[in-house]
Amino acid sequence: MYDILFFVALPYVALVLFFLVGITRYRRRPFSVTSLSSQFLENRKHFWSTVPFHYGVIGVLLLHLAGLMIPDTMLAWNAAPVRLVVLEVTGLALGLMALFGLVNSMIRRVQSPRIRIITNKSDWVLLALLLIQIVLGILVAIYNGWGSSWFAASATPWLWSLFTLNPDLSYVAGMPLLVKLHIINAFLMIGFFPFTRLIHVIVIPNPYLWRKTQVVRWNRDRKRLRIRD
Amino acid sequence: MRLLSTALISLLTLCPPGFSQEPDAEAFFKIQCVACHNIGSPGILGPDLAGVTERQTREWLVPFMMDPPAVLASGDPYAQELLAAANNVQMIKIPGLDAAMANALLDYIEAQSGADPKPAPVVETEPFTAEEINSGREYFTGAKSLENGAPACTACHTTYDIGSWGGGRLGPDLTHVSQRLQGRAGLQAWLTMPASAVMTPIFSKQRLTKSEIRDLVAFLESENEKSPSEAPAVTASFFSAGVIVAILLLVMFGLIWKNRYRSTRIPMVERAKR
Repeated sequence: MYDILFFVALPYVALVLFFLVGITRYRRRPFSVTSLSSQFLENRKHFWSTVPFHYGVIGVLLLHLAGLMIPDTMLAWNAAPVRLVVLEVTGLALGLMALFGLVNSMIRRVQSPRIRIITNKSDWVLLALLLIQIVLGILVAIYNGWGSSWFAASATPWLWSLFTLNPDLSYVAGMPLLVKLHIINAFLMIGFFPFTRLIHVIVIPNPYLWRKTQVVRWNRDRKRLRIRD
Repeated sequence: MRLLSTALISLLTLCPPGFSQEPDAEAFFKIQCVACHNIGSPGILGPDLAGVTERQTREWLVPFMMDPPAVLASGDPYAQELLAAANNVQMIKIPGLDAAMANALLDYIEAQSGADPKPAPVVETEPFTAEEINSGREYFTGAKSLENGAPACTACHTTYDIGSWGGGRLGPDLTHVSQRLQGRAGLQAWLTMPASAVMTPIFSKQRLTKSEIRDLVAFLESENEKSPSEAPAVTASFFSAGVIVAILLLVMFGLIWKNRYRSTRIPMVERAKR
């Protein structure tokens, strides 16, 4: 019963919220579709938060996406033990790097008064969900290892059964608790996605991934205003 | 908001297909039961099921089919008798076998009981050749792909010989699986229809062929004979490898962007403070 709730109902509710609220927000409040960068409020800790976090998370997401889109290629790649270990260690390292960046960004939000003031409740909920998700992902990689293979064999058919509106939860019903929690939290994040600054992810094109860095600076006399770092 | 609630309600009332269908006992029997049982002749491991409802009542059979280990653990004398008759190979709990399916299966078995007896399955007893063992190893690691597209065993399992860096950690270590499943017949039955919640959905659609099963049985039997213990845990060294690569990546980022504050921003901030 809980399996139907978590692995059929929750994903659909999350996806409906994702699209419905996402589109509504874009139509009603287009200027709120932003990452709300705080780079020019604090820039030293910012680098060691955002850079490791984003490269780590994007790498890990691409690996998950590969498992979903090209499962046979993943299994073929993993047929040689050396390739499998290279892929798994890379995935774990990217996850650890994302965790390092995320923890730094949480410390930065607590420590810097300027950042604290622009941080709202949805940011904290999002940071908590991200922290839980990354820690669970790392634990799965360690204790239920070689997910790059079994994801392609079990999670991929289940996800496609959801997308084709013919849900078959038998593929995930027998998964260990850590894996189930990782999946549930992922769909909680997808549902919560359009209510948070995560919305910046879907602003395509995303040229800030490759464009040159942009230096934002104050156009006023900081000395006179007595603003100190 | 109204649009949102309408969408949610219509979604929740929409019954996903496949949840309220009549149990298809014949299909279930052919996937889940035939690995061990037959109707009209003894199975590889379990008794002949012809006339089973004449030997026992449904009140006893249904709970046993749903959870054999629980009934065995309760000390039920008839269950103990069955266990002894099956050379102490315990029937496992079958995923998806609920009360409705158990009753439908008993109806199916009753209907089939009068039919022509089927030949009993054969379990080879000859020693396996080195080629068969090697081929089994290749199927296990994925060096040779399985005909119907099922993932290689190493996605979830390892053995002592494969080593922890080669095999996955979702399922159990299979070094001594041959011993756990009481030898060749048990292994062959399991591989014909793996009855674990994770394996059943995959291997009921992507079945192993007879020759793949024979080679895998050969490999797993040889593992049990030659390997002294299960593969050692790899968690600590795997985690350390991940930490080392992560640190290297962080150092790389630090080097790539080492001039990030120095050329423009730091002088500007210092100038503003003066």
